[in-house]
Amino acid sequence: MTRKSLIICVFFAILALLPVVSDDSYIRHVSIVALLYAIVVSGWNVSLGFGGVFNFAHLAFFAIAAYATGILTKTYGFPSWMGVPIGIIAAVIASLIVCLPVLRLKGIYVILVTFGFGQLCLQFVLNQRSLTGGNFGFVQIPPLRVFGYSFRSDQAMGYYYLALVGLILTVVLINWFRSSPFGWRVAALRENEDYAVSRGIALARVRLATFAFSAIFPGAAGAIYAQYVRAASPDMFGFSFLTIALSMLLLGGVATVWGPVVGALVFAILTEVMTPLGPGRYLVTAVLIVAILRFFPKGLAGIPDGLATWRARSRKIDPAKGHGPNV
Amino acid sequence: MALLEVDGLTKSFGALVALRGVSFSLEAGEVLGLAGPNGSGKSTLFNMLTKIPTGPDAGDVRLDGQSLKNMRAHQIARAGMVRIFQTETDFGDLSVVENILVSMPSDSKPGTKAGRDAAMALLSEFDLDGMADQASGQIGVFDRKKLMIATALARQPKILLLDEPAAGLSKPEVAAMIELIRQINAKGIAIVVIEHVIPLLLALSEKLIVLNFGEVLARGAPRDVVRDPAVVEAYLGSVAEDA
Ligand SMILES: Nc1ncnc2c1ncn2[C@@H]1O[C@H](COP(=O)(O)OP(=O)(O)O)[C@@H](O)[C@H]1O
Ligand SMILES: [Mg+2]
Repeated sequence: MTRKSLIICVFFAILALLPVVSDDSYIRHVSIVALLYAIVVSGWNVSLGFGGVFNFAHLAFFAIAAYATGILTKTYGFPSWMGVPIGIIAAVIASLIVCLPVLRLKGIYVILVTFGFGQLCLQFVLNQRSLTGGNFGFVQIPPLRVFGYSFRSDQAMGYYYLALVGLILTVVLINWFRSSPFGWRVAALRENEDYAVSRGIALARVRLATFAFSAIFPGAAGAIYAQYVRAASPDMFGFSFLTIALSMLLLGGVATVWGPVVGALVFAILTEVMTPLGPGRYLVTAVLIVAILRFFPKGLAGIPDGLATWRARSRKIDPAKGHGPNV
Repeated sequence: MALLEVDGLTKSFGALVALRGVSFSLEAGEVLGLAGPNGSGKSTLFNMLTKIPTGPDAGDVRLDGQSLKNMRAHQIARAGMVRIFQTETDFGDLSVVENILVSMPSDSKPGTKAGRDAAMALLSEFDLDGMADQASGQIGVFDRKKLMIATALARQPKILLLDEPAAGLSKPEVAAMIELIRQINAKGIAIVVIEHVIPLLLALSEKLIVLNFGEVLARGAPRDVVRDPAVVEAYLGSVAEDA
């Protein structure tokens, strides 16, 4: 076993044992939300990080999944175990719809269209009060219950492990993606679009696939979140979710498998530790992020590489050539 | 029917007419040289052929008898016409071997062991197999130029468009490049090569076209074309004596 896979095992073992060590309901809540964020941000990393496409509809996929799960299981009586599949399907469909107008757009135009899409969804939710609950949100979503086991029992232990399993699957999937022909095509388009196209890569098809793949993660997380807090609210389309997710992504490091995971968990811990500071904690967090990115432009996930380079340089040995495989 | 038939290609950028009614044809396995002063429209011609970033204002291109009018850029590459760019271009964050793998058609199964073996075999033809796992953004100019040609070959083209493959190379590297291009052509791949290096053009091409202000100034056997008074005046000047 390599040192890296050992660290990964220890990391997940700690997460798996956490509920045994503490059954504090507040800690439980914070950790479930952090795990879900890690899943959402990992998905965003596919389009924004690996793909280099400024998709600002990503959190809208999360919100759409939450609403779709809530409406279909409560209003239309779908069984609660179908929540995650419903969320994934809804998010993937939404991602294909928003992708169509941006198939061949670049940079700022992509931001404009994708962000506009989220606002459009928000207006829809606010206007279709009878379907969505409007301003007040969609409440009393049936919780997840499988074979008579309620995921809410034992301080929502079920949701915790569901989110943890979700995160493990996420890491496995993204790790596969990164070194698959699909992942190479996505990276090639990010690195040089003209060159990629000149080598037969179908820009539009790959971009659609990128959006659809990236939407699986907020789709699953949105469904779990809705069933866990038993509500979907219009502010899920707002700036605060988006800003938190973006901070996590930048803090952890884009285009790496572990960046979003580490970023989400560290960010969640930071905000909790600094709760006594009140609103000031956002300022402190922002300064911390800027400081970390100043010294480690690749984010937290880039620290091992960054330190290795420094150490090599101080020993006056040629630093590791190239970026090496991303952590 | 020629492998490539180019008929009346015209392209303007605002008031500037970069190409005006350029026509030529290319037989399977042939090497065509393309020369001309800076700004005469050589790279633009490649852009029009491959539709990167866009196609021509007027004129038609037929590859294997099929018009490219309704094809997108990536379909042209898949149909067998693949280019290299004038400046070294690579997928910098991908490793050298991944640059090849991502350029391979899906039927070559780039995700499998067999695909990787094929990619490594291609790299070794270019002496690049030793740096297969390095990030392609980190390797030298000559190696990146070779890698760009190797990724084009990974696509299994019928026609290779080379835009100044010898630019920025040292004398021995130019010689090596000529040899490489010869070997590629020996596999039956037709080549259009843009160059300022006259000896390279003379060594490789069977036909030579000289562009000037977006129009064909002269065409024919390379040795005749470089002695054409109009060509000497517009383009070669004293260079012709060196050749
Ligand atoms: N995208 C563009 N927009 C405006 N002008 C262009 C563009 N591409 C090329 N040109 C102009 O077209 C002419 C031909 O350029 P080019 O084909 O690159 O010449 P070269 O023969 O040196 O390869 C030049 O005058 C150049 O400035
Ligand atoms: Mg040029």
